[in-house]
Amino acid sequence: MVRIIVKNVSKVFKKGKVVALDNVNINIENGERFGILGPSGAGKTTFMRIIAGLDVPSTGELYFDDRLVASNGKLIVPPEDRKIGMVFQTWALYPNLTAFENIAFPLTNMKMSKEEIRKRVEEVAKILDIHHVLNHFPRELSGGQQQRVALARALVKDPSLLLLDEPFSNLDARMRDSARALVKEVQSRLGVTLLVVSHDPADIFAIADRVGVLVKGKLVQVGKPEDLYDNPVSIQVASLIGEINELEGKVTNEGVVIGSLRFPVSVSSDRAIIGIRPEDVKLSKDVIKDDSWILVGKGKVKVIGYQGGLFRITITPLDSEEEIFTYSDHPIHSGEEVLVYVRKDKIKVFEKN
Amino acid sequence: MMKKGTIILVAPTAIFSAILLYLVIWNAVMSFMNWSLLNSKPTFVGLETYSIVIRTFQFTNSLLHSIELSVILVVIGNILGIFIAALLYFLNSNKARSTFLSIVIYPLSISMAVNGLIWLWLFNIHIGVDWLLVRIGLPQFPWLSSTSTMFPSLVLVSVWAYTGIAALFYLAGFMNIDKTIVEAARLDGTSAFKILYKILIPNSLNSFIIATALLFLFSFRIFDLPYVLSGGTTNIFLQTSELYMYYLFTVEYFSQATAVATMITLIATIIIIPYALTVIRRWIRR
Repeated sequence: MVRIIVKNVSKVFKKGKVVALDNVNINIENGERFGILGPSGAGKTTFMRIIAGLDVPSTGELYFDDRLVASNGKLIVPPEDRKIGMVFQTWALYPNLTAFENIAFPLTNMKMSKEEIRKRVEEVAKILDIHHVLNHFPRELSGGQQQRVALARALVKDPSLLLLDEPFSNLDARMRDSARALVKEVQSRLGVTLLVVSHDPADIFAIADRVGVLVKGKLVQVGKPEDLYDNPVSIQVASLIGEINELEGKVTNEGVVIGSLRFPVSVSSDRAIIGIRPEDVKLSKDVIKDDSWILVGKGKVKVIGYQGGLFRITITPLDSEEEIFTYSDHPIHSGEEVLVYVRKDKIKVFEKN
Repeated sequence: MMKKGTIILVAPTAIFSAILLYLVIWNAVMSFMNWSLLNSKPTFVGLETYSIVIRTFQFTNSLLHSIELSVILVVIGNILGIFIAALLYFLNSNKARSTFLSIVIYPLSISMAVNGLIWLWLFNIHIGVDWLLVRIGLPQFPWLSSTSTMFPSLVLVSVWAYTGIAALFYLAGFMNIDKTIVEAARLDGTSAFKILYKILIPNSLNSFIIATALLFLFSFRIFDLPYVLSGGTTNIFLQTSELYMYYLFTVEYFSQATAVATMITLIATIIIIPYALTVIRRWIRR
């Protein structure tokens, strides 16, 4: 319900010694679900805090719709006037208040009658399925319930913008998918603009329509998650948005060579980095007759593991220390030699600089 | 075999406790005697010393002063401590916060006798605070020169001297609260005052416990400030129990002095031990 325009925003700490954000430009559309992905220390949280108004950009401007809210080190619209609901990484529930009082807290700061508050809290509690724990204190709630109370507190005041700062990292892995689905469902029901910050690509794929990747304070790539997955601008972006094999090799006339493997791609520098996702690698003892897979050479199985119903097989090229892993539905014994196939149009090449 | 760490911890504690206990017991034993300038050979008289000393005007008068001072200091010290800690907490600059905090706890770092002397000058009707009051056209305030304003003046100085410790513990408590909780409240449009009484204070119970204990201990055992401000032990308007005890000692009523000392120890123990057993134990438990 609000469009966010970030113009040339930079943020420095400690008198310029630490650059947290470096000239970031992005438009987040009204009602969009936007994700920010990046490693820890990349400036994700700083970015979100600037949007929330808890920090001020050192330089640059921030607009909510047409309204300038912060510019060049000055806070123009304070956080409480930005109509923001925020879920913090730690959830930041008030430990001395019950779930009901936590959710009602933002409303008690507005001029609203007791019945109206009760009605709104119960309404949002019902949507999030926490109406039966409203008189419990945060410490008496499970992680998932605490997270939903935090979400309810963010939503109860009818925000125009919902900010989620690593909202699932404190949840059990098995609960994360249902929590993500819930967030997405509530967002589409309310039509609120959503900004989610995470280091976990699963959050981004589950929630975001568009994602921006922050690396060392710079927004290096923006696009649909699947586009970034297939066409990352750098090996770093590639590895942030999904698992990938990273191989450094020498460039020859026949392509990039890593030990006994040769990838038929062309690149101008001397050395190059090949990125290949595990699902784009196939290991076989026999020749595969399928045009979409190309043989890149022989490798030797180094170790085999088991994960998520599949065997995780790591191989090394002959005469090289590099490693490639892939998943297979059948085990291959370590030490065996195998033919290594890769999906033809899925080899990602990056210049080594 | 006992671990080395246990020995290192236990040995000094045991020696210290033994000396302390010996003195307390010696003191208690002497209070059952008759020992004074008039009777230089201590003789056992049971509770007679107590019954004599309790019936004196100075005893009830000074005990009342001690209790009044403790109650007032605990109440005002806590309220002012919270107020100062909140002001410091909401300061934006870390530098300003540490500067102001040092100023607030400064009186604690110098001797209370020196604090008393400073205020003796400030209370001087010609050159102290009154000098300023007269300059801006206000009437002089008698401070230590009038019997009715003496005790309030002592209270003022003790509050000035000891509030810093409450402020320090409350600030530590506030700073310990997860910062994102306060930020969440700010995003919800909560006023600073509401953040203070709805979030900061309710989550600083430990600060309240320790600040109250220390304020009580400091004020109930107060000696230097009333001694310096009243210029001795005999001013009955500023005499606290400790001053009375010391007065009895200086006039060589040794048994009566030990009887007062024993009663002060008992009162402090009766208040502090249950407090320590319940709240402080909860506080230091992990």
